[in-house]
Amino acid sequence: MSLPIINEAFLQRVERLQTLLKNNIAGLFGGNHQSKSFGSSCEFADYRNYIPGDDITKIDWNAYARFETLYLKLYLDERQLHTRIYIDVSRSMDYGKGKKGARAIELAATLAYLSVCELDRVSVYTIRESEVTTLIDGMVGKDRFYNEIGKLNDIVFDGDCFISEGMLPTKVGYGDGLSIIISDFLTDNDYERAIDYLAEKKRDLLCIQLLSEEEVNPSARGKNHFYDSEHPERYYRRNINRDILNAYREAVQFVQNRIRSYCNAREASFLLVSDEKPMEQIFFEYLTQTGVLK
Amino acid sequence: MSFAYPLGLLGLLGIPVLILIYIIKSKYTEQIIPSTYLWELSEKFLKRKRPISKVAGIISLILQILIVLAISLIIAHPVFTLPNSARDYCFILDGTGSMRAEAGGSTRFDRAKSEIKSLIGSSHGGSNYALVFIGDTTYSVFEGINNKDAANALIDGLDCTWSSTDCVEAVEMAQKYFDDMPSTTIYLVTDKAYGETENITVIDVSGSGENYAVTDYSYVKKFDALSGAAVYSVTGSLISYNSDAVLTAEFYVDGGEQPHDTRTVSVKKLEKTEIEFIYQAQDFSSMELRIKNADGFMQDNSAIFYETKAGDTLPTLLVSDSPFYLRSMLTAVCNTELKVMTTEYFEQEYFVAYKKGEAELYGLYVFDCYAPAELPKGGTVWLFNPTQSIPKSGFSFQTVVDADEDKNLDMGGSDTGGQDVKYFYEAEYEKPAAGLSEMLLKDINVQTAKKVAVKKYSKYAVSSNFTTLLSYNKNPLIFAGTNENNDKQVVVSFAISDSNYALDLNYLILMRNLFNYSSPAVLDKTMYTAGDTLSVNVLSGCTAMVLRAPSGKPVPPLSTASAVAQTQLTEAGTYTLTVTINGEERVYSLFAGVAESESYSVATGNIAVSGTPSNEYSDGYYDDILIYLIILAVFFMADWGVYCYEQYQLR
Repeated sequence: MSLPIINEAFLQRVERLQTLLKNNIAGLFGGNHQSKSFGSSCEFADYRNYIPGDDITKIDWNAYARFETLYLKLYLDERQLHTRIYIDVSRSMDYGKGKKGARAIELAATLAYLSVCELDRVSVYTIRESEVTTLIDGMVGKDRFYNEIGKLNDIVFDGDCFISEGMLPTKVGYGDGLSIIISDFLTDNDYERAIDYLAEKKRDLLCIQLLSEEEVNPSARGKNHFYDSEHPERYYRRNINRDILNAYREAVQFVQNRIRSYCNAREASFLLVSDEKPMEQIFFEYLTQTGVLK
Repeated sequence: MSFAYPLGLLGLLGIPVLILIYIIKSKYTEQIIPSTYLWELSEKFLKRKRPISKVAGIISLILQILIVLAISLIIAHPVFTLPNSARDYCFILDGTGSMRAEAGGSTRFDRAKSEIKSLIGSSHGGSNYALVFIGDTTYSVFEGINNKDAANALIDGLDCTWSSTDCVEAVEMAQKYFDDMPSTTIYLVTDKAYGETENITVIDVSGSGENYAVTDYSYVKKFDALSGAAVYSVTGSLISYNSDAVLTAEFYVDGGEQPHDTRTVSVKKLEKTEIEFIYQAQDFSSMELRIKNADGFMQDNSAIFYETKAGDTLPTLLVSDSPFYLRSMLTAVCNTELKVMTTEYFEQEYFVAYKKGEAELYGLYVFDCYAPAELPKGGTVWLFNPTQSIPKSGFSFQTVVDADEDKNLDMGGSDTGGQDVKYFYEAEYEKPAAGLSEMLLKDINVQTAKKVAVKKYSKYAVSSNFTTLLSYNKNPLIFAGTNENNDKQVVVSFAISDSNYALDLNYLILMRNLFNYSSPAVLDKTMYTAGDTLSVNVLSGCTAMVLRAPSGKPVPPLSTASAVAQTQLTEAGTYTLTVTINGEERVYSLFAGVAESESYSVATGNIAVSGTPSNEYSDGYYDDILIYLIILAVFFMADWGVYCYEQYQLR
């Protein structure tokens, strides 16, 4: 696996983006995300009547002088979130003509950089078979980002991937940020319990289905005998004609719609990405249109 | 059905091999893809399955089996027998001059060849073909050929001629074919119309279109009575064969690009309209009458007269001590550039220089009562009464014969020119035979001609190279021929002064004829008709004569061995004749026009091949493999289509 190419100019543009979260934020203090609760930041939020027991240092004495009533001055609260990025590292992610593996690493690195720039903590996990492995844990700050992001290059794409079985036993946090799953989701329903699990944990979720251009628009014609890279015993043998190609495209659309509708039902975001789409287009067009970034 | 090459059917063994290959060889392309999930899922969305998709592989196999079958059949070359269908064909192809007429971008001759090839192409295999060609001569191009390609190749090699040969001989040849094989179908492909044509099918290729022609072209040279200037009166007739027309005739002189005179006349169909042009000049190099209007047969639209160059002066040397008679005669009758010298001067000066090769050469040497020690070469020699034998002269001197007293004739004072002649011989002209004597005795009526009185003559032994013109008692007195130097030579065995011949008009006529023989014009005339025989006079000193045809085709060199060279003019147009005389080249032009009979295809009566035609034909065959090739190509394309359907989904 070659080193992910981090384009400096592209990263500088990415810094101007900001993550939009749907759930109430329950992260650690000191972050860059505004919480729905009031806190101790410098940004004024509202007034309320004084209740005995309140901190008298927060009473607005100027308001008392005018209205002879005690008002308490309230400020917005800002929290630090924990962004968790899960990468499907099964063999199907990096086999054949496509460059899904490299593109998955680029997406993970860029999203991690974006979170680091927002003073969030970032963890990167890989999912192989039924096991989730922590690759980067609690990374904060750009210095650490630059020190540890190279670990992504150590990823080896091999074996199968069971997302739900891998994620359910692990700690995914509670209402403290965004979870991102990067996978081709070429499975029947292995991801559904994982999505439900993250929804229960009040985590914002972004599912990125990464397919190669060959998988979206296959060029195969005529008699073909396809073997599955993850399961050699599985094969598909047909004379591929227009009817089958049309059926294939419907299958791609079906899989995409199924994940999208499942995510929408759980207020999760979904994005289908081809490995040949440029990163600029993915971040500044697709992700902003999806509402994940602004 | 039979097969020309049955071993070709061994190719059918390829069919089981093909099937075996289909069974053994998997045509599926194997490859590993990231996941088969989407492909497997697509099965649920596969709405309808085209039947052709299932049998596409079988169709390809069937097509390839058919391809192998077709190839095997092509190699085996199947032959189908067609009972009683093969015929014998005899084609008579008209290749005369009129077949050169054009209409619609092709000549009648081309259309005729196409017609014959079309008939051959549509005939059944096994048919036999014969072709009789009417050209300069009538001959069989091929006979008994049953190979269509070979017959067509021979037909393609035929060229139209300019002749005006009729079809009589061709019909006679067809009659022989018909007699041998009464089932022979005879076609005459021509542009001429015929009345009844028994057993002959005439294919008319004349087509339509205008045709004009120049005929009866001639000229007369006149002299103005007052000024004495020469005037040429040139006449010719214009004719339109197919319709009334207004024709513009142009008269060109000396090869000029602009016409000397132009005349526009109305011409009625098939009526000759005569026109006249006047050209005032002493000489001309060419006079051409040309019809400006374009038609389908341009070759008969012009006629040209070229000069004969008959007026070439002949350098002549007269060696005589008393040249009065001969100088007078040469000056009066012959167009010479005469030089006279005495015998003494000749011996001491000229002959010495001649031996050194420094002397001036002449075309005609006249020796009067003098026998040179050696005959000069490269020119005609006239010897008057030589009394000695001369080496290589072709004759030897024997004796001088004086008049006999028994032969007494009262000639009268006026006839003898005042001389008192009592005794003389009566020499008589020889009867002219075909050839040289006919030419030299031209315009002399030997039956009624006055006998020549000779007082004294020399008796010679003459070789067979000479023709006697005048003799007495079988002794040649005047004879002409070729000496051993291969030069023309005339010998008069008496002195003119010893006879009354100088007073006879026939003397001048004979001398003129002898001079024309000694220095004739190369061409007697310059206007011929294609197919005519050209006669070229071989001058003294002539070493080569080359004739170039209008088309530029090579013409065999003319022989200079005889006095007259002959060849047939096979083309119409202007010929160029180059004659080399004593190392000097002279160029002459002559024109061969189209025969009037070829300009217009008049009805030429009935033609017939007698006999009762038979309907008994031999068995023919059909062995064309083109249909198999087409089927093979269709199979190939179909297989290619199926392949593309499978591979690229070209639907």
